Amino acid sequence: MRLSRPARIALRVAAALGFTVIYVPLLLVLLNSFNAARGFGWPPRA
Amino acid sequence: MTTTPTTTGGTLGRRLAGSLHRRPRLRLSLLLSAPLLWLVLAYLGSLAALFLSAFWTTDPFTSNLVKVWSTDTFRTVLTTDVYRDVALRSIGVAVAVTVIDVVIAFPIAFYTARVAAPRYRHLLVVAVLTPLWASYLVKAYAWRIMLSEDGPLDWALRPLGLSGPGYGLPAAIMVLAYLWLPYMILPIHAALEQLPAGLLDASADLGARTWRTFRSVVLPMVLPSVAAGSVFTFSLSLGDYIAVQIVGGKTQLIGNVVYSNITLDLPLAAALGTVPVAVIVVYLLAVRRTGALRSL
Repeated sequence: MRLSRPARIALRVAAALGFTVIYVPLLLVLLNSFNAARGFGWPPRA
Repeated sequence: MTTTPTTTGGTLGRRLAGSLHRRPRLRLSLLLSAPLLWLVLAYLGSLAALFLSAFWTTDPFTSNLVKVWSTDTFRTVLTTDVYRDVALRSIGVAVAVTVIDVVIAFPIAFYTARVAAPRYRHLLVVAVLTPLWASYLVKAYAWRIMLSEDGPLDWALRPLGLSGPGYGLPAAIMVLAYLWLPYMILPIHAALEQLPAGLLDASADLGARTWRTFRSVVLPMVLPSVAAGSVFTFSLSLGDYIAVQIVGGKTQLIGNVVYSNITLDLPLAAALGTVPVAVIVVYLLAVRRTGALRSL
């Protein structure tokens, strides 16, 4: 399928957003593992 | 004359192998008997036990099981407004999760299968699969943190004058859609990857624009895979209760009601548990007509 340039860019952006949605919660867990506070707080304390 | 020394075990093994080679049906039966036994006893047996216990009742005073054949529990489930609402809400959530997953999965799968450079495609598939290696609970609690008051979502949306949905039904739908998204992306990716380039070129050569090619060529060929992915997202959402408990606030779905009744009123929990099984059987029969089960 010959996709136009805007279509390719739109797909790239949509995929990037999709991967962001997939990975943000996992990164949040990783980030929170360095949180100095015992409870959860946002943004986490160094 | 010299003879080759053979052990008794080796001779017996060879005889047995020869005998099985001559009887392919017996070989097949022996191969399948163990997994079939496991399937019948552990899987279908537990479903049958669930279904049968739905026909018992509970003594209202002692809460003891009364093992007398009765359809009262099913009547209660079908005629009580609360249970009907919970069942309909659960089906609605499963449908919403499936629709959201299709909408999010399609562009991702299209990019990974047809747009990304071929050398990165496998890496992108791995990137889709990787979250499945993380624990379900870790992901659900990550979302609990995301959706908490003054949490990351509120923090990110505050500059726009917005706030996150907090805990409740929308949060439960969001989290379930997130949890089952890879199960929708992968079948669509596989279908798009196998789509013959010649068909797309022929469509373009015949004058069809991108949207027309997508509508008339890509979509009909990928639809069975979308239906296959929906089998996962729909059935997994319909029975889930842990994510709903973690982020759903006071939301009650079938899974939660079954869980809260399992020790108090087993027949009621069993009768409620047969509702998703029945819904999924109907759904599978409907999906089978699209040829989706061949794409699994």
